[in-house]
Amino acid sequence: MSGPPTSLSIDDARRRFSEEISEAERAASTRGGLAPADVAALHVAWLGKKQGVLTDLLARLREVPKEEKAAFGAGVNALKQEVEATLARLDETAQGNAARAREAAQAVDVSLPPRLPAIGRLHPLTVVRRRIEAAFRARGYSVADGPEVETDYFNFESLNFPQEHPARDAVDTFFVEDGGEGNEKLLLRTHTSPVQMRTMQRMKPPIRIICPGRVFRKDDIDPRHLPVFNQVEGLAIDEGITFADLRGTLAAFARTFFSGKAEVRFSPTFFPFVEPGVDVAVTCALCSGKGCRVCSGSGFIEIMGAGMVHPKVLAAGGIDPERYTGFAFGMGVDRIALLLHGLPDLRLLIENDLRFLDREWVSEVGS
Amino acid sequence: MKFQLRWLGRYLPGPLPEPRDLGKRLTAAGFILEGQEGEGDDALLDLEVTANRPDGMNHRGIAREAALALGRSFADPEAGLPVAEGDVDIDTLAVVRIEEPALCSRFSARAVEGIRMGPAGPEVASPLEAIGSHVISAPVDATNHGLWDIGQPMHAYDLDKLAKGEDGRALLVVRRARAGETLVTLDGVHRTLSPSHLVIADAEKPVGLAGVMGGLDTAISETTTRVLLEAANFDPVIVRKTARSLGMHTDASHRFERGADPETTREGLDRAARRIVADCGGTVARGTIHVVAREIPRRTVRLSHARLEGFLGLAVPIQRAHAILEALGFAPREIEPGLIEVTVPTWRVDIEAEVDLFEEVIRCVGYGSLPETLPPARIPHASDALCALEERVRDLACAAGAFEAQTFSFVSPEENAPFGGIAPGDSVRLSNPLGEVFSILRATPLIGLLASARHNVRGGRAAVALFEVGRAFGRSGREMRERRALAFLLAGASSRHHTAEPRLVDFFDGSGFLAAILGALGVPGVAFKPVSLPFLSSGRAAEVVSADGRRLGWVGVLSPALASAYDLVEPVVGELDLGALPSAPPVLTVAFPSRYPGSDFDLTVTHLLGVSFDTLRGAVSAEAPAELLAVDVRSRYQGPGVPSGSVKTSLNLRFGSPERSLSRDEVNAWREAAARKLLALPDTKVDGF
Repeated sequence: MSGPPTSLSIDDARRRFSEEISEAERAASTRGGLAPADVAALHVAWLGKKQGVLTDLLARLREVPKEEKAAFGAGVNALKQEVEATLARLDETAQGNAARAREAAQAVDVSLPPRLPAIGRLHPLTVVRRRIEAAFRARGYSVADGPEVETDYFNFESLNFPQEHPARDAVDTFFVEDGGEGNEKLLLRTHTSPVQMRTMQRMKPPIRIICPGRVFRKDDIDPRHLPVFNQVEGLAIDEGITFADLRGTLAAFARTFFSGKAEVRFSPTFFPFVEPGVDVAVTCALCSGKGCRVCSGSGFIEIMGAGMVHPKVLAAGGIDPERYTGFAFGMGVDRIALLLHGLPDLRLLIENDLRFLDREWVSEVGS
Repeated sequence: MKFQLRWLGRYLPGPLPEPRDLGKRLTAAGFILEGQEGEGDDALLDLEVTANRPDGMNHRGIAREAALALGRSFADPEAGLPVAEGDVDIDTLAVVRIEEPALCSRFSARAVEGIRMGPAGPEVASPLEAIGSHVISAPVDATNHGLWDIGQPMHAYDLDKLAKGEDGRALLVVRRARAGETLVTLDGVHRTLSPSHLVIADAEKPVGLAGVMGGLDTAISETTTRVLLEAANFDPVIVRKTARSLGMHTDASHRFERGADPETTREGLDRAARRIVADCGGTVARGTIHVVAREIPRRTVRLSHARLEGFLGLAVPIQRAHAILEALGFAPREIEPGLIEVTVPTWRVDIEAEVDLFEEVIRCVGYGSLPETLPPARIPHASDALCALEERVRDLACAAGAFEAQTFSFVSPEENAPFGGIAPGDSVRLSNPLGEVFSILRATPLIGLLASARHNVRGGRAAVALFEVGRAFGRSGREMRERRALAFLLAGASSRHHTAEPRLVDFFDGSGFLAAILGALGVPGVAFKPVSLPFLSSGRAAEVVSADGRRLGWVGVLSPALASAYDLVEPVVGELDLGALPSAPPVLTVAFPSRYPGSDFDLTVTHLLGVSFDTLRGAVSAEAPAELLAVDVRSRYQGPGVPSGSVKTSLNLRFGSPERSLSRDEVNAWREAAARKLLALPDTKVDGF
């Protein structure tokens, strides 16, 4: 840059400062503009305590004739302020340039695959079961639970399936080896109704419960049958509960769960633990009741069994059938999942193929 | 069960109903149409008849329901029709004795003599063939016709083949079989009997299984000229036990098990006798043997109109209820205003109480007329706490990166055996499994996860993370032990990304999985202790222990033998015993997070491999100030510079106080104290000390 410019005037210095800056900017233009180091070098050259141009100029004040001293001093100071202000401005720019350069060096290809935090998913049967539960919890039902290995008494006898009654033929039951005899005989529960009986024996009315759980029936494995499946049953016992209350409750459920326009249809059937017993069908969600392949053209799909709790069952539960009435219902979670998702084969539900499990099932939002 | 429209039509005066409409109406009445064969007048209806409605298992019974459903009249063309009889008195030919009055309420018999054996005519044969019943010979078909016509099972004996009693008359005795007695039944099977079987015997031997099937030796054949017809009513339970213990199920046993009308025995015999004579000629002996061992009282049931409407939640005029019950044969009478008493028809064995009549009324009024109302709102009870815990654990396991699986509760003995030790007690076998591979109730849900992981790995999946929340089973004698467990399995690549070196999941992914869930559940002070379990790799297995010493679960790398059996590479598996966790949420105590900055330092200690982190942490924590908040590991190093058999561990100790800032001097003093504690362990060196 410059040696001590012995004959340098203030104006010359100002011109030269301007040239040096232009030069530095030109030199830096190919590398992203001035760097903080460039500005620092200018700072040393012009304002440095030992060799700075302005320091030198100020030192020459001694040589200046007395009458010019004041003007010269003021001129040098003015120039110094200009230089300081300019360098400060340039430094700010240079710092910005440096920050941009650092960011550029850290830039990534944002289209590269993201680093996913591992998040699993619930099984579709859990999702469907929780939606069913939510619809009833919202109406004041609580969840009750019981063992999967049950006794004949809780699974059958107390539910008005007497020993040696043909109604038992409809229920293919797994028995535990060396599991006793008579009503103490151990078996895998064929429905979650034993939880209803256990609840009745434990609790006084009013009762509003749902009993979700795994149940077992001796069915051969095929696309439509599994020997292990899941139910949600419900039970309401109170004074003055009517058959119409059952219909209304299930219609409310169907409208929460399936569609706001769903209709519920009862048809008579026989379950020993209820009287009357009904098969419950709802408007086919696929065709909105117009009739399709899924509903065999009927517009309705059977989704559960229900009925008014049999007085003998109330009595077995320690509840006075003269004073209380109640209703019960039960649905297969697997079957409903099959309907909702159009599953081609129930075996998908137990194979646990991650390509099957890793997808969005019916959202829990809104239930 | 198949019903012929023409046959039903015999009981419905007028033109035959349209089959599709009839099917729909019967379905609404509780006899569900499962299918229809043929069209128009030739139609067959396939109806589901539930176990409580044996009265609907014959054409007359369904026709009665059809009449009501169609709003038409019902009439029985054979009601009260006489039988032309000859001069020979039945009592001179045969005698009947009931030795088990509790098991056989009545037994009726008729005889036809002088028949010419031959096939049944079209009036009997064609309807039977239409519904798929085998046509055999006129006398046999006549009895079968009665079963499908009015629901009365019957049997035809060759009168000349029955052993006679001392008085020369054929003897039929209803008794229990004697131990060791044998009988060849009509199906040709040789059966050995016991006193648990009820039989019909002649003077010498059993000639039929009561209510199930007759015997071959006394059956009618080509040469038969004299037929003895039996129509009886047997106890449902003895018929069921007899049939089941011999592995039999027949049209007759199906009806007796469910309850046959006790009052159709003579009617059935009359119909059969008439048809035999029509097809085979001969003469019906005079009179009917009718032994009543036990009177069956007619049931009466009362129906209160107020209770009916209160139960249904629907207004039904009492006249309507009256009309429905009358059409169904209940003979209702009003005993006071609003109170009807009915006499239950003998064929309605399912009607016992008022609520049964409610169903009769509403199913005929139609379920579509029920309004939709809701029961009163009640304050809910608390839900089952363990169910709630299970749900929370499911959510946390998903948040920790695993997918929920569902697997069967039963497994094969081979699959279960390695895990037998963690079952609560002995393993539980099913007595009638679907097969040996499904014969044991699982000791842990992990077994199903292993098979599911294999399925995924075979399908080319590089990483598998599965869990199941379910029951595990064991027993101690008769006492069942059902455990609620979370089982999980991690296998293959751990979180792959191009920015990091790929690695397989290892023990710490497993312990971290459980620690994260337990942490989120608020279970404090959980520790992992070395453990030896036969299904885990030794040295990479831990049990999970709570602060108060309870065993909460286990985690580790699956043993090499099991891993290769399931085609898996070093899978990490584990289980939490949900029953051992506190089911109540931990008590919350709220304290402000400290406002003062804490301080930490590192200590690098070289120690024997056998000295666990637990030991190091224990050493620096012993007598440590309350300001010690956590001990963590920065790094572990083995290699050049570290003696073989040792490892260099960089510990990080973090301190803090809720009340003050820490001074440099006190932190330095703690650092020195911690280093001294470490140096007190055998063969340790601490860098800088």
